[in-house]
Amino acid sequence: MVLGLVLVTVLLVLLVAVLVAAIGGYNRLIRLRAQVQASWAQVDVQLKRRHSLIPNLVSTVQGYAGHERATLEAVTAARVAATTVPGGGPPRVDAEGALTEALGRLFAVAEAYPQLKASDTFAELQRELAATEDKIAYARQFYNAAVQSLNTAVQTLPTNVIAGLAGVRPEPYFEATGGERADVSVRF
Amino acid sequence: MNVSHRVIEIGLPVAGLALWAVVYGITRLASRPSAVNPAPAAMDLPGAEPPAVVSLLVNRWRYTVDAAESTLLDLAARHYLDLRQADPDPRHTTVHLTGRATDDLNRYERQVFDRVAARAVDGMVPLTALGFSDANRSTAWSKRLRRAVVADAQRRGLSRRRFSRPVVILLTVLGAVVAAGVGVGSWHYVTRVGEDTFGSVAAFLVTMAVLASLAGRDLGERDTPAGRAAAARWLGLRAWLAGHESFADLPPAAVTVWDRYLPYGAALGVTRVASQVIDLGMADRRRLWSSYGGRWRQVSVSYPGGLPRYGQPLGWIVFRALIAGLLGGTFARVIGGSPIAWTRFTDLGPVTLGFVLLGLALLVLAGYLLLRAVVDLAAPTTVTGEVLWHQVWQRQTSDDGPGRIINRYLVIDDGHADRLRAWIIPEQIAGECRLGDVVTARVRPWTRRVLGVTVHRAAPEPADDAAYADDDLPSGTALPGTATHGAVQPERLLSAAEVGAATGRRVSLVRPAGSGQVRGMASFVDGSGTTVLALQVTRGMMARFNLTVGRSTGVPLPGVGDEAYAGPDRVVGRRGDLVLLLVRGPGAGGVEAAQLGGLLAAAVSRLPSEPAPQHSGAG
Repeated sequence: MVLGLVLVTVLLVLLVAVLVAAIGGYNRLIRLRAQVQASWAQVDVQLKRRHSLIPNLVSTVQGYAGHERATLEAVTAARVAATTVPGGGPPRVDAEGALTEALGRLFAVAEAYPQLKASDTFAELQRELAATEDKIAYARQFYNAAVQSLNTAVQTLPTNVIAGLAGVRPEPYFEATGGERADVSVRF
Repeated sequence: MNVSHRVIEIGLPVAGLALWAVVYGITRLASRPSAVNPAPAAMDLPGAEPPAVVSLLVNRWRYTVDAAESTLLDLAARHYLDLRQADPDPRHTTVHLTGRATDDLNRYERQVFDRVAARAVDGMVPLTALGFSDANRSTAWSKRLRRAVVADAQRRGLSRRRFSRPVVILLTVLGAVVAAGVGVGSWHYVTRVGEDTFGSVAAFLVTMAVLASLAGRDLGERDTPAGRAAAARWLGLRAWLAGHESFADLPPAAVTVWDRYLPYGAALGVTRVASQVIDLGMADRRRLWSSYGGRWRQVSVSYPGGLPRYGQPLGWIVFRALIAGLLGGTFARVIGGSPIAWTRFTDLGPVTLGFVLLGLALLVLAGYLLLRAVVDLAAPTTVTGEVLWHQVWQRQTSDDGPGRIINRYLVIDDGHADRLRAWIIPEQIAGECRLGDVVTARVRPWTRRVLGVTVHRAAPEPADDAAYADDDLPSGTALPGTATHGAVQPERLLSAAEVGAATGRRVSLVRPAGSGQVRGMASFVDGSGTTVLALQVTRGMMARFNLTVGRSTGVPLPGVGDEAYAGPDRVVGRRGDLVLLLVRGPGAGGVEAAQLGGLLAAAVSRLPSEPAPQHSGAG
């Protein structure tokens, strides 16, 4: 009788402990996922800021180097592609990478037009774009740091069990594309 | 005693003091820094305040060690320094000087930079070697940094003193009124009982002094509207950074990737690893860094202390051996009987046997002590290297305070071993070397006692101490007359050996105390602690005063500095705008002040040559 009571008490205590640990693990996973989403939102804000600068940039370059049609169209097309891909998965990362490459080519072309380089509007756009690129880089670091924490939690015991039950999955990193790893860059 | 007497003699002072305490308490409560509501978590750096100031704001206007750590990281983020991590252990990070000009650094940034530069060998220093080996210097360095950070925050309108000047004046005036009440009460009492009325004046003065000092005490900093707004923005960044778990685990070298986010993270208290690794406080005396020999090494140091022989002169060891031998012989012979009887242990009673064994043990101990003493006496050795640690070990017990220092630990790195054992240097000769000096010490290995020290190369002057001496003085403010001039340190002008030779006494140098005391003075004392000679370097008004006194009471000493005079108890000399004063102390006995002329000449010749001030002249 007494032994049975002790066993029941021990089991209850263990059950409560497991429950508390499960709740703590679940809350942590949700917090980490929310942090990933918030970090992506920061990346997204900066990417949209970049998108909004591109039409002005294209029109400015067009005024001085109108016959570089192919380069300008490539930038415009890359921008459209980047803005139409939803979310933050690999397609979006690829699209943004393509846009970065297109911008790199545009600035390489601009080097050949001294009047364009001397334009105040172009210089201001260059500065803004550079600042935005810096912010994108930092936002990407924060995003990847958040993803690393989430993925580590999702793939290690005991939180992987809770993640499986709660449907929390690993998130993709925002990695540099092949083009970005090369020397083409819009940092000035 | 009737009621009116009680009201005046007790009620009035108590009511006055209670009133003052209430006003003071309310003022203290009202001046506490307000709580700040954080702005929403955001990634962008929300302002241009330096990390050290941010650290002050987000810690409720309290200075913390985060200020120094974050400033160091910020210097790296801005490429004044370079942090390199050799392997996965962040403690193996090294700091490198990049050679970038430091003209645009503010006062505390320069102080941190100079600390790194002072420690660097060939432009490099291990990150964990930035700690101090001298508690006084560590404290003074931190205080200077705090003052500079607080001054910057005040200049930006982000912080202010908890008690403003009007509040201090109000409390002081109220304190004067209360003190007058106390004085009246005590005057009433002493006149009634017929005692000396001076007591009432003393009561007034003491009460006034206590209340005024309480009112003027520095209680730290508090918020301002602009400071609260800035703190709210930075707390928003803290919330953002704290949400990223892996940010806390970034090592200091990650500043290369994270730029200024890492220093601001350190200022906001969310960088666990980086903050653990960076330590600009006191070094761990058991794991010291040494650059003696040309490369940085971390050495483990042990400190002897468990056995009574450590640090003792051999005479004392021999005396103890004799006592042990005497006791041993007594126990063995008197209590145990003749040695022939000891061979029959079974015939001895248990008590007698115990005494015989104790006696034999004491005799063995006495023999061992004598043998080791003779070996130590016959074979003193020398050790040459850099002084890494110099710390008080033993003090004489005293009911009145900390007691006179007897022995100090002295750690000398000879550049060969990675494990060192401290030596023990008697206080009488401890002043002959200091941290960073390259010395040869004559030592007795068994007792670990240092017999003498010869300095081969003095430690570089701690430039940061002197360079920031006038940190808080607005430009144009004259230095106090007794302040140390620039890089001149009085303790470096004369050695204990020179003073000892001139006075015929064995003396040791008493170093200038740390912050809060006059740094322009040093003194030499004999074995009993009596001052033999005091040395003071002055400039400005105090220098002119010393020179005038010397000129009017003494005779000229030709050929010493620009001018020099010998008086009845002092000699004084000038070189440029610096005046050096040597005052004979009570321990000097029959030494005439004029005999100190040689010392004055030597010391004055070591003063930096500077143009004389325009107004010095005969005045």
